[in-house]
Formats: sequence, structure tokens, C-alpha cells
Amino acid sequence: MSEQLKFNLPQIKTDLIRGIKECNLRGLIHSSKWLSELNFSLQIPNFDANTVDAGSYSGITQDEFDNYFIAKSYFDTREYDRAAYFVRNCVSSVPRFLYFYSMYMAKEKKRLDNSPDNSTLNGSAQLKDLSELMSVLNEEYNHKNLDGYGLFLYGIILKKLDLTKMAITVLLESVHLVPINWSAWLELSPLIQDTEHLRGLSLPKHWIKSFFIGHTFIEIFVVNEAGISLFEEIQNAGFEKSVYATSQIAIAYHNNRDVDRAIQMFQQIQSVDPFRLENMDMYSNLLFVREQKTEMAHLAHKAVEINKYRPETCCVIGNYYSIRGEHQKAILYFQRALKLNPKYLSAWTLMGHEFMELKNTNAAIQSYRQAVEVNRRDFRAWYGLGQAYEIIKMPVYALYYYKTATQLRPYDSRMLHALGEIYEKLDKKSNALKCYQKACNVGDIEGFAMLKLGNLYEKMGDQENAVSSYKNYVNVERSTSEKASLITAYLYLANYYAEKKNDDATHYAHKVLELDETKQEAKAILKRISSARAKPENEEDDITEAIMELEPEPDILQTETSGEDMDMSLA
Amino acid sequence: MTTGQVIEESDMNQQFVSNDQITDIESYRKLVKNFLDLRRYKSALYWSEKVAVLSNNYPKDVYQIAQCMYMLKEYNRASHVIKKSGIETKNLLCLTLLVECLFASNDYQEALNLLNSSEIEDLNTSLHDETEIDPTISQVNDNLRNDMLASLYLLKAKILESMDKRTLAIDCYIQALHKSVYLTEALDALLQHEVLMSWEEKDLIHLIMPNKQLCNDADLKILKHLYDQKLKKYYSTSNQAVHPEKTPNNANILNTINEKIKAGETITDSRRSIGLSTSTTIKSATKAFPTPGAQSVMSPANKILFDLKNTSASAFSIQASLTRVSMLNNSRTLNTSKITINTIKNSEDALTADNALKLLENSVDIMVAKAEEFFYNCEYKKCLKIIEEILDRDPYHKRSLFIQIGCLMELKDSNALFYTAHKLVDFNPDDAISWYAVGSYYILINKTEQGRRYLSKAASLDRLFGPAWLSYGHSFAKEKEHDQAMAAYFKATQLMRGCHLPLLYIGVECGLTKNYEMAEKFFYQAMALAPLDVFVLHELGVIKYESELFEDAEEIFRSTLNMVTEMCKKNQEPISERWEPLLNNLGHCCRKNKKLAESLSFHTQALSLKPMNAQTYTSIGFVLALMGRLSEAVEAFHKSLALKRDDVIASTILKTVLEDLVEEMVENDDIVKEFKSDLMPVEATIDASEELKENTDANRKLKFDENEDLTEMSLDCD
Repeated sequence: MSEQLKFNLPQIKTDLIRGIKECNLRGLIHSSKWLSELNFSLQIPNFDANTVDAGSYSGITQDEFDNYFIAKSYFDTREYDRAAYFVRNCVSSVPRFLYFYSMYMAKEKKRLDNSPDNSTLNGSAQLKDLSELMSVLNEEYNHKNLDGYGLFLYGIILKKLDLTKMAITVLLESVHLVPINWSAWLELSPLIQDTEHLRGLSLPKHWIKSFFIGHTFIEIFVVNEAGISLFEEIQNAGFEKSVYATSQIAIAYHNNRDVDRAIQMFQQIQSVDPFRLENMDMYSNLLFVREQKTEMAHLAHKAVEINKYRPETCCVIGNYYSIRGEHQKAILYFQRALKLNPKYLSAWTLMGHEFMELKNTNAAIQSYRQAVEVNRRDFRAWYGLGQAYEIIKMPVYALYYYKTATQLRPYDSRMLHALGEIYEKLDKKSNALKCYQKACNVGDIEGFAMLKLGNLYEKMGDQENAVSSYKNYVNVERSTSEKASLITAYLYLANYYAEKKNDDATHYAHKVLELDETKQEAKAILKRISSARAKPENEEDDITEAIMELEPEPDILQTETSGEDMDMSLA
Repeated sequence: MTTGQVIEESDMNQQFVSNDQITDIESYRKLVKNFLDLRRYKSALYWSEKVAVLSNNYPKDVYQIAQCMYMLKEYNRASHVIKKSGIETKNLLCLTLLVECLFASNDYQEALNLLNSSEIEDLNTSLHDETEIDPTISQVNDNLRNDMLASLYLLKAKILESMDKRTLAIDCYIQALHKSVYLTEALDALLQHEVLMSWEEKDLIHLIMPNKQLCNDADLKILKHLYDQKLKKYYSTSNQAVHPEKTPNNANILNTINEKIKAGETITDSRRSIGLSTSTTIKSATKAFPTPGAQSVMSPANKILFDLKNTSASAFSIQASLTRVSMLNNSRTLNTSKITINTIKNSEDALTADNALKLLENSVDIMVAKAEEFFYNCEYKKCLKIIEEILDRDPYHKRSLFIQIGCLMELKDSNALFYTAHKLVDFNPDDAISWYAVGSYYILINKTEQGRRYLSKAASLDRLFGPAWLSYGHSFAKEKEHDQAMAAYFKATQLMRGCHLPLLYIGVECGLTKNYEMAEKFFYQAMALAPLDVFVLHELGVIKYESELFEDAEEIFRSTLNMVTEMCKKNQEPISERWEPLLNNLGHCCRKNKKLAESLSFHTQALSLKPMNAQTYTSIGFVLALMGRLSEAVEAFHKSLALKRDDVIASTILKTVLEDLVEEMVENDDIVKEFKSDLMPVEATIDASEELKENTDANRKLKFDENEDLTEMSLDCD
């Protein structure tokens, strides 16, 4: 990806137009939508779409036209079984695909209709249906009867049945045959474990490959930056108007916790395409982190106006209720989102968060688990699982989950911090130490790691390190927000220096005096210091004076922000 | 009476007028015949009586009267007419009719006495001599006479069967077939209740086939093709693998199996050669234990096995009758019926044998045979497709309906089964199959109580209806009532002597009650019937596994898998989903035998056959844990638990594995590595041994679950 991206734009345009036609023929509406979006964004002056030979109705033999048309119209009216019935004997590629696809859609539709409660992702009946379809397709596959689209369908089913390896090979074959089918790429993307894996794949040489790689980069959180730069390149190479590219960049910023820029990107998208709902839930997450309640309310109302029954809309509303503290209502909306699309990842995770808020740990665990089922790379769900298990006092499990979360986001101090705490609970101090240290190194988001480090050193009796940690902690401006912990730090420092007979003791003791609860203690320390000093010099008055001086100083009470909302800001 | 005379007179007047005052009895006979053809039996009876009076009880006319009465279902009346005239002692046709009447009016004993008292073979010779007296009837040539004799034997067999003398009945059926190859009723009676062993069926077909000089090639070809279709379906598939010793890797165990089977056969063989005397001694031996003490010692399973050995006494008579037939075969010249082919003179009607066979593919019976074959190969969908085609042509075709019920059961299509059962009951409420359908439906929807009620109704309607008993057994097996299930299966073994399924099920039940030795014995018995049937082999493997003979189990499973893959190769299709338990079991065995990598690959294969199976995931996790690939193991367990939340085994193993994993993680965290490295191996080994202990415990549960799986599996093939 190092060399400059160069696209042959007229060629792409031709490809796109053909692709739209082919996908439309086969009822692959999502692919066709994506391609159309891309096509729209690609304006080439003096390009006459009529010159493109879209090969109308290729892949349908003369005598199967009538069957195809009736089936396609039934398919469009969502009467899938009926559609399948009318093309059951067709042999040419398009009606054949339509047959399998209708069967698949019929099963999917039935499953959605039959699941009034979305407690599980896979009913056994559904499983049986899918396995049947799989064995049919498997036979076709073995006889090499499947074209690129058929392979795509086979790949989806394999993926649904969790036969990942097979799914990857089949989907790869599919994209080699029909690279224009974006859905196949999209299905392939979550199956890729890491960059190594991505590099190992043999992908077809096609312009769409860049989109796929960018998408996958962003999907594998770790290489966000690479994804951003790739999409920026794509934009520069001619797709500057592509909403998709912009939204991917926005998602990448969101992943990088670059909230302001992400929000800015989303606003940009909104102005270009005001009725777009995709990724709006992510936008609302960002607003949640920034606590822009009005913005959220506005977004929610707008989304409802556009389409009430979209999972994205439901998530936006759920988030809105969540920030208002109406967690029950929020859960209701997340559930609705899941009813609309049981594989909607963020709804599962967000619902888990809501259950955590309501202290319903078991339900939260269920939700998080489903989220992990849907996408193993969702570190928030893993983190949530860790938290939940920590609460129900199963530290071993919690450790495992935190560990997984850390593997997914190695440079996120929150995970490391949580991991350290668990290690501490399990009495693995050295491991905990390592975690805290790493958390401090990667940039402590909450600012707790240093304090924890100090605490740990204190427990281990390593005064020197404890002091340096506490000092570090105290010196960081941010940590002033957390008064109580700040005081503990000061207290420890005061005590320490009092022992050492250092003048700094007084300084820290004065700091401790700021809080009412610890005032007595502070006084005691000061007394001790003064008495220690009094012996050689007798400066008692100074100290009392000092106390008097400090006494009326008003407490600077700061509003707590970050601590409480920790779970949420993860979102 | 007077009115009758009046009519007669008027009629005579008419005759008188039209035919120059000559009464032509022949024309009345024609009238009767016409009425008979038009099914106006009452009128026919009326006129036939008149004819008889006119001809002064000419035998043929009396026969006609009786025939009409029979058609009117007035059986006693008909038999009385024949007996009164006394022609039954002279004439074969009349004798047959009389016996038929007696049979229809349930006078079995009388019919039997009649048959035994009159020398049937002599009768027909005497009939031959009486050509002049009885010109119409004596016109029968040899051919017809043989058919008549065959049908008389068939009647006798039916009577004997109704009197529960089944072995004698079988003998008569065989004789009937011997008289006429074309008497399919007799063949069906022999085959449909699974009375014969598969090799006996082959012998039978072989023996009854007419000689080449009697029959032209094409006819023979057709006959053989048609009759071969009637034979046992599952035998043909297992037959292909009769000599698996040839494949090198499974030589050992299969040899021993074969020896055992042979031993079993020799026992039965010796019994056959010694004949009735041994079997009676054995029977008396069983009768020597009537004391309650001895009976209580004998477990139910033991008793069944014991009784089973006794029932093989019946093999004697079948074998004897077969040999008798074969001996007759050598001497027979013209005494079987045959189709006279020379009637076909028209060249357009003449078909080549191959063409005929091709056309016959569309015959219902051939189609049913094909459907059955699919059924035994568990291809229920394909089977159902053929059945639907047949039922479209002939909606009340019983045999296909029977297969349809089985398919619908397997596919758990309760709605279709409900409909079929309802239709059946509406149309033939007196037929066992209707109530069998109803019972099956109730069992399918888990109302076993009602299900059993209807099944027993089916069994009482047709006492030879084995499948009802099998279903009855399954219903108990489902509720884990092993003893009762075994009893039902045993009843089925009695009815379906040539079928290995009841034996297989008894074996499975024995295995479930932890009576492994007994189970093994039953499996060997089943194998004697269906040599190396893959399902039986599989079950045998399970029993070996249960009795902790893991090496043996592995070998058996492996050879089973070989057979399955060979079969699939032959049919050019991928291994079917139904073999997923086999692969999983092989995985378990490999794990037990410390072949972890292989075990893993088997489990993964199983998973690709049947995805999203919680148990398979658990097993994979287990193997991975034993291999030390802990994090992968944890992942597998998670998948398993996601599918089945309250799986005790998975969650317990998961817990230990997670603990180990945490240890590992602690050690693998970069900083701690150096000062803990020397401790690690020791700890690891301890862990492993602990785990193994745990595992055996967990494993026991695993095995139990497997068994569940296997019973399901074995139920599949019914």
C-alpha cells in the first residue's frame, strides 16, 4: 500500500454500472446500494453511461425468462418460498442463484418472524434448515456448479454455521470470480483475524481491493491509522465525494477516541446526505461521550422521522434514554434494535452496559456474550464481561476477559488498568505492577494507573517507588478531579516525608487539610512534624499559625466527570 | 317359491318363443357369467340356481352358485352348498372355494381338517381323469392346475398363520411358491414380515426361479429383476463390505468379529443339522427352570437372549422346506406354471427384455423398492419424493404409505403425519397401518401414553405387525424404561425373525442399562443377520468404548468409517450428516488412546458435518485442553456454552482450564518469566495429572451423553 493509489476512473465507472445491474438482477440489494452510492460519488465529466454495455439479462436463458421474472417479483415482495418454487427447475446462472438465495432468505425471514424473544441467536430449527441448505450447496460446490454469486451465498451460510475456515476459502473464491460483489467482501472482512492474516490472503487485483483493505484495517482496531490514510488516499484518488469513505474515516477516528474529529466528520456526512442512517448510532455514541444532550435529542428525533424501525434508529434512541438515566427504556429500544437485526453488534454491547447500570449482572453477561458471538473483536464487550465477572466475584474469568480485551486493544490504559486490578486481587503483584506501569506508559486516560501503582508499591513496602508514583500522580493536572484519591496520595507523601523529616511533609500535610474527613489526620501529622522540629528548634507557633492560616481556605469542589461515566465513555 | 316358479315359467315361455321351444342352458350360463362380470351377484345367484336345477346339479353349476354366494359374502351358505353336493372331494376348484369359504368364516380347524384329509395332489390327477364328466373344469391344463394348487397352498398357509402355526405356514408358503413362481402373494407373505434371514431370502429366490429350459431368457430376466427388488434393502448395502479383512488396517478386530459371527452361525447351523430334536431339548431345558427362584435369577435380557436361541429352532423347518424344494427342483419337469409366451405373435407387442425392464421401472413395486432403498440409507427427502409420486398414482398404496409414515417420523413433520393418519383412519379403520400411523403421530408429538394405546391397537389388529412393536419399544426407550422397551423389542424379534433391528435395539438398551456383555451378544446376533451392517458395527464400537476397551472401540469405529466412506465414494456423494456421531465417537476414542491430534481432526470433521453442535465444541475444547492449547480450548468451551448454556461438563472443564490458563498467563507475562521458569514444568505436570483425574469424571458424563446421541442415531434406521 506504499505506492500512490491510482484509479482508472472510467473503468471503475463501467465496472460499477455493470455491477449494479448484476446485483440488481440477483436481488442483492445491499451490494447494489453500496455500488450505487459509490457510482454517485464518482462524477466523471463527459462519461456517457449509455455506452456501457451492461449486458442486460445475461445469465438467463431464453426459456427461463418468464420463470425468472415471476420469481424476481415474488422475491421483491418478500414472498421467498414462492419465488424459490417458481425457479426450482431453472439451470441458468441467474435464476439458479435466485433459487438458492430465495431459499436462504425464506429461512432467514422465518427465523426473524419466529423469534419473539431474541434471547438466543440460533434456534435449533433454524440451524437444521441452514444445515440442509448447506449440504445442498456443498454438493453443488463439490461438483463445481457454483458461480461467484453462488459461492458468496455458500460462504454466508458457512459463516453463519461458524465454519470459519471453509467460509474464508469460499468467500475468497467468490471475490476472485466476482470482485464487484461488495457484500462478499463485507462478509469476509470480520473473518480476518489480524494484519498478518490479511497479508497472507491472495486477493484479486481489482480496484475494490483497496476499499476492502481499508475497511478491514479499521475493523482490526489496531491499524486504524493505516485505514485512515488508505481512505484518505482513496478520496484523493477520485472518491472525494464518497460518503462511504468519509464515514469509514469517521469510524476510525471514533475508534481512536479522537472524538472531536469524528463528530466533525459525521456532521459533514449529515450535511451531504441528511437521510443517511448508517453509522448514526456511532455518532450518537460520540455525542454521548461528549454529553451533548441536546444534540442527541435532535438526532434521535430526526432518526425517528426518517425510519422508526431501523436498528440504528433504535440504538440512537436507546443512547438518548441512557444519557437521561432511563435505563429501562434504553434497554427496550436496544431490544427492539435486536429484534430488527439480531446480529446488530453495538446494540448487544450497549444493552450490556445498560444492564450493568441496572446492576443486573447476569443479563449483562448474556448481552455481552452475544455481542462477542457476533463479533469477536468487540473489545468493549470483552471488557464488559470482565467487569461483570469481577462483580460476581469470579476473578479468574474476569482475568481471561480483560486479557482478551487487552489483546484487542493493547494500548488502551483502561484495559491494562482493569487487568492490573484483577492481578492484584489474585495476589499476583508483580503482574499487576507491570500492567499499571504499562498503563502509565501508553497514556493514562483516567489517570488512575499511577495512583494504583503507588498504592501497590505501598502495599509491597517499596517506599521509594511508591513515593515517586504518588508524586507523579499528584503532579498530573488531571488527577485533581478525584479528590479522595488525591488526598490518599498526599497523605502518604506527608507521612513519608514526616518520617524522613523532610520539609515537603508540611507541604503535603497542608494539602491534606483541604478535605474535611482527613483534617484530623492532617493535623496529627503536622503536630508530629512540629514536635519533631520542636525538639531541636522550638517553632511550635509557626505550625499552629500555619494551621490557622489554612483553616478558612475554601474547598474547591470540582464536579466529577470522568470516573462515573467510565463504562459509557467506552462506548 | 311360487313366484319364483311363475317367473321361471314366464321365462321359459320366452325361451320357448324365441328358440323354437328348446331351452338352451348354455345361454343361461352365459347370463350368469355376464351378471358376475357386472358384479350383479344377486341376479347371478338367482339364475345360477336355476341353471343348476335345470342341469341337475352339474358340478360346474353348483360351483357357480357357491361362487356367487362367496361374492355376496355368504360364506356359510356357500360352503354348505358345496358340501351338500360333495363335489369338493373330486374337484380341485371346488375344494379351493370351500376352503376359502371356511377361512373367510373363520372355521380354521375345519378347513385344515379338510385339507389334511383330502389328498390334494391325488385330487388333481383324478380330476384329470374325469374329463368327460366335467368338461369345463377339466379343461385346465397343467399350468392352470399348478396355479390352483399354489393358491390352495397359499390358503393353507394363511390358515396356519391364523392359527399361529407360523413355521408350518412358512413351509406352505414356500410350497405354494414352488408350485407357481408368479404367486406373489406368497412371496410377499414371506418377505413382508421379515420372517426370513437375508441369506434364506436369496436361497428362496434362487430356488423358485424356473429352469432355463422351461422359460425363455427375457421372462427369467424380468422375473429375477422384479423379485430381487423385493429383497431386504439394507442387506445389499452391507453386503458390499462383507470382506473387509482385505483392508489391512482393521484386520485384527474384524477377524475376531467375523469369527464370532461364524461361531454364532455354526451354532445355529448345528442346530439345523441336528434338527428338531435339539431344539426340543433346549425347549425342555427352558421348561426345566419353571421355579420362581431360577426365573428371578435370570435377568429379563438374559431371558430374551435365551428365548431367542430357542426361536432359531424355527430355522430348521424353513431350511428343511427350502432343501425339500431344492430336491424337488431337480426332479421337477413340468410341474411349475409358466407364462405361455407364444401367445404374443404381434411384433409390435413384443418387447426386448431390456426395454421391458426399462418400462417396468415405472411400475409401482419397483418404485417402492427404490424408495425403500433410500429410506434404509436415511435419504428421507429423496425417499419421500418417490413415495409422493406413487401416492399420486395410487393414493391408498399401503406399502408406500407405510414408508411414508416412517419418513415423516424421521423428518418430524408432524403436520403431514397427522393428515396421513387421519386419511388412513377414515378409509381403512380396520387396518393396522392406520392405527400405526396414529400411534406414530402421538409419539412424534411426545404424547407417548396415547401413542402406545394406538400402537397396541395396531398390533392387535394385525398380530404380525412388527413395526408397531418396534415403535412401542422406542416409546419406552424414550422414557428410559429400559426393561419395558426390551420386552417390546423382544416381541418384535419374534415377529421379525429375519430383521436385525430389534436385536440391535435390545443391544442398545442393554448398553444403556450397563449390561455390556449382554449388549455385545445381541450385537453379534444382529450381525449374524445383517453381516457388518454399519449401524450395528457403530453400536458395537460404543459398547466397546463403554466397557473401556478403547483400542478395540477405535478399531471398530475406524473400520465403520472406512465402510461409510467407501459407500459414499461409490455413490459419489459426500459423507452424510448422519455420521456425525461416528466421527465424534472416533474422536473420543482417539482422545482416550492419546492420539490427540487425530482426535481433534475427527471432531473438526464432525463439526463440518453438523455445525454448531455444543457437544462437539465441548469435545474439541477438551482435546485442546489436553494438548495444552488452553486459550483455544477456552474459546471452544465458550462456543459450546453459548449454544447450550447449562452444560455442566463444559462449564466444569472450562473452569479448570481457565485456572490453568491464568497460571500460564501469569507465567507468560514478560516480567515474571525469568524467576518462575524453573518451577513451571513441575507445576504443569501436576496440573495435567489433576486435569486427567477431573477429566475421567467429566468424561463419564460425556460418555453418557454420547449414548443419548447414539440411541437417537440407532433409532434413525428403523
